[in-house]
Amino acid sequence: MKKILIVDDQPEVARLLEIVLRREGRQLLFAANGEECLEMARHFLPEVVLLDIMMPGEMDGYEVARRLKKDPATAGIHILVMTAKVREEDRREAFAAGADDYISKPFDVIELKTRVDRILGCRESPVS
Amino acid sequence: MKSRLFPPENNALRNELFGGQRFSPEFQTHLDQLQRFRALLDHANDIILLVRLDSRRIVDANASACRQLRYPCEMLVGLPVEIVVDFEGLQWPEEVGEGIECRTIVTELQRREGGRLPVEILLCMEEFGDASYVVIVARDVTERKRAEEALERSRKQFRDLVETINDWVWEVDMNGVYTYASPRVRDLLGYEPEEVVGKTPFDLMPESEAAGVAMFFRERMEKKEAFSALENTNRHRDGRLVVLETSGTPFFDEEWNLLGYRGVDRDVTVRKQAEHALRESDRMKTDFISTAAHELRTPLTSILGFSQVLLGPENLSEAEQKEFLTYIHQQAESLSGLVADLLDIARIESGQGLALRREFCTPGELVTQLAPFIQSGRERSRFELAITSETAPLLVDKAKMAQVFENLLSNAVKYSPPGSPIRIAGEISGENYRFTVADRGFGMTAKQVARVFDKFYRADASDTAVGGLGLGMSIVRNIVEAHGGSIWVESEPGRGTTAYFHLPLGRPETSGKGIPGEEDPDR
Repeated sequence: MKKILIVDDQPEVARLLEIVLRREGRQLLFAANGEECLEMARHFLPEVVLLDIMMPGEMDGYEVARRLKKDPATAGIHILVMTAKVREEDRREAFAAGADDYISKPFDVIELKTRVDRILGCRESPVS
Repeated sequence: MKSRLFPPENNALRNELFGGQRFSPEFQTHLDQLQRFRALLDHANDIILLVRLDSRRIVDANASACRQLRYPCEMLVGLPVEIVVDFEGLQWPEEVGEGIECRTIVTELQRREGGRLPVEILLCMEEFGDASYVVIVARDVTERKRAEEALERSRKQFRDLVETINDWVWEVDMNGVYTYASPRVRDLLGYEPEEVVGKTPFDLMPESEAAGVAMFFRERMEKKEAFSALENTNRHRDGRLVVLETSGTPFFDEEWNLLGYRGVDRDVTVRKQAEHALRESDRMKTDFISTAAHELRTPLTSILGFSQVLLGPENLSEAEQKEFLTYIHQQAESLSGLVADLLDIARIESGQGLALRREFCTPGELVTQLAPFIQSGRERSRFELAITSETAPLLVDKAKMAQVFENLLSNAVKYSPPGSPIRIAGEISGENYRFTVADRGFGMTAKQVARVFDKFYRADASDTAVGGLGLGMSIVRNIVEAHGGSIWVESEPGRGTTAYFHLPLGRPETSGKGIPGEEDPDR
């Protein structure tokens, strides 16, 4: 069972991602802030985290990405940052924080789906 | 002292006295000598008069005197000297110089046919024979006077110009010490010109600034170069900092040795402040545009995403379709609200002001308008209503008032924890009706409160999850003020925020005679 952790404080965006990414043999997990995300990532060890940057609470997406990559247990998780912050420096900061991929909001749902499928596909082959 | 001069002598007298006689060689020598003196005198350009001290009559005059005063020589001799010379109240003879102690005065001579001749006079007392005389040597100073007057006019002209312009004009010597400061320095730096003279420009600057400017000035001086528009910070006598823009040009002696610099200083403090404010406002606008773009993208994400899903190949249940359409609708509404805010602020910014459609209504009606908002926010917050004098007359734009309430309420919801109470109250307060919207949320610091009505300001810009353009409160204030009301906010961190606003009570009796402020683009 492949696990995708969706981190977005806006319920309707989380719902949209659920509709787009749901598929047989996948488990979708949801977190609404950075703390929840780190906890769930450590507990469930998902293959992918879809990470929003602007979230309520102490931690923004950049900080979450840094902590995920710092912790050896979660360092291997593929981080796909999705954000409405679309300036070049936002993109650079995301990659500097440890993002593996970046998609700007609003996104094309087909493109998002394809990217996630590809990430999960790549991860499937060498391991099992 | 015995005179080196001679008794009156001319050819006519000689003929009369001596006829055609031949003189002894000694006498002839004396006579020749006298005639030589006479010739020298008559050819002198200066006017020379000999006056008897006792009678004050002219006893001799040279040719130049007769010519310049327009008298036949025989008329001039015998005249009281006052007819010709204006002594300007000079005491005669006490104030006439004696011996080599000649006295010089500047006065005028009277010409025979009228007209006056400006002269510089040398007055000397002489004694010979048994009488005392005054020798008057007068030099025409018309040209010199004219030149002096022209010089003085030109000086005054330049002084007036220098002292009238808003810039401070100065001169420094080789050591950078002020040798002249125009009075304008009073306005610029608060010092009297005479206080500045003797100081250097660097004495008037903060230390750090002085070092840099001194280096710059030294380099210019070594190259004997002019400089212009050098910005430098100076300390006004009252302590505040003043930014001056200095231009200067070197001046030299005849051998091209540098003597110093002359130049002007202009106060550019206000300009600098304006430039700073402009940069700041520019920066805020750039931030705003990126915030606005972000805020617009958020609802667009749902609208585009759900519509793409709805249009896609997936088979969706009817319930799901309805759910997705609901999201699309909600987000489109939020987008529409953002666009309305942007248009409002654009109108306010461009100076058009808000167009109000005022009508008579009551506080009760205004609060009733909020029902849908309160309904939808019920899950998150507890709304309490306490409206007294519900039927008080108000003359307001109802839609704009709804916007005011919705902004205040959504802020209250946004910045307070779920389930906490939000109280909407209203009461008559003097000539006004006062509304309050109070929450028990996170509150704000005094600094945040001070900026709450600023455009583009968001109390907690770092908490990027709390969305918004930072325009709401600015628009709210504009709406309330356009109604002739006022608005203010009180807040304390951890205890919550209360927004108050007053609206003037309307007078229904005026309703027939046109409603003030209706559709008034200038408010």
